[in-house]
Amino acid sequence: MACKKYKEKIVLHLYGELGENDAKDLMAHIEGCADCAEEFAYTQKIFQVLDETKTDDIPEANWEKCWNTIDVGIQGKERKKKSFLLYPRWAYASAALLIVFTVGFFFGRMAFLKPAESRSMLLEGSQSAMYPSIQEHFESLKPVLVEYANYTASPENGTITIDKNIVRNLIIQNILLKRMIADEDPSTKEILEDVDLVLREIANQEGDDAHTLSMIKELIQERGILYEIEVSKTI
Amino acid sequence: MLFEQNRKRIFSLAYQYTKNKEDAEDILQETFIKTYNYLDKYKVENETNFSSWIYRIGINCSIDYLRKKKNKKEDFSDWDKWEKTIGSNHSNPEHTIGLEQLREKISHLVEELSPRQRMTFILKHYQQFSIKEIAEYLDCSEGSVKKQLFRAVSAIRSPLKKYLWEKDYGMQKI
Ligand SMILES: [Zn+2]
Repeated sequence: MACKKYKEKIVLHLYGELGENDAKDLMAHIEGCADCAEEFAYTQKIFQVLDETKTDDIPEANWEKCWNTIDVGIQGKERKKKSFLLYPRWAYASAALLIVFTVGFFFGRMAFLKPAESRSMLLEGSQSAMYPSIQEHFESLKPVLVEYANYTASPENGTITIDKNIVRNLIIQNILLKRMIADEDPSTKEILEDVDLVLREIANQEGDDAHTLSMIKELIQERGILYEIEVSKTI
Repeated sequence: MLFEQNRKRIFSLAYQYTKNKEDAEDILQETFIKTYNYLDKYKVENETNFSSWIYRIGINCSIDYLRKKKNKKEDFSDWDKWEKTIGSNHSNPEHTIGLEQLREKISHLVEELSPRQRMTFILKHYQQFSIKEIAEYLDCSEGSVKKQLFRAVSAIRSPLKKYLWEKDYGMQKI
């Protein structure tokens, strides 16, 4: 009967999960029990075989397929928006007007918020390890946004090559953070919504022609995203 | 990065668990969609680190996925199939089994474990989490993890006995 208990302990011991006293007890038993001694030797061998036959080859996932399914699953049917850049120019112009109006309204409203209210727990990311940090997210966004914001159409500038998978990762990350913030921090949520718009344009960008690149640049500038990101640091 | 780091960790766990790329991709997708849907809950509970929380969702999605898949699967054992093909070549006790075949055999034995046992074994043996951590991930007692682990190791250990000879692995023929 006692041997059954020791056989369990053998496995735990080989995983380094047995306390000092239990380990001593086990060894003492093994010395006097041929059956358990054999069990111990064989289990040790099995562990060795498991290590020898272990393979670390993990194939590369089809991230694009995964990303699409996640994006559709998360956004549901609500997101069937057309690409912002595909709207006719007049629509774009009126949208820009609306942005100017909204931003103006938004800044007006900001003035009435107490600093504590405009600051979410998420912004304190590193202090609270529980939450992924918005600031870290902004830091990973910056290189991509700066690249597009600095774009100038000229023959020697060529085009911008950005790994679409990086952009897709950023989109999912952005969506998750936006949902975590919910309505606790309207100003940060607004930045994330603008970021979402820009990242989707980049991810869906088919051509690398000067026109598309300039439109993305304009979008970043119109929405003042880089400025907002910088300001969020100082709040 | 929040998504970047976690997608790799979860995909690699799901792949080790299912040994199938498409299944692991399905699990990864399911994990992130669930993560999004459960974010409110996370904010309320807030008892754990965010990456651990996602990882836990990934573990549960993997177990659920396998359960559903096992229910659908016709009732034949891969292990029997293996015995009939590769296993039969080793009916001569003078021969020892090669490393590649042994790897394949172990992989089949792991597949035969119940979804929860398989996960316990993968988390302990390959991902090297402590029993305490596994108990937290699987939301059960440490005693229960120990039992599952012992059963998993026993289930892998016993059928291998006849293939491990002194020549290769220093074992006496049993
Ligand atoms: Zn004994």
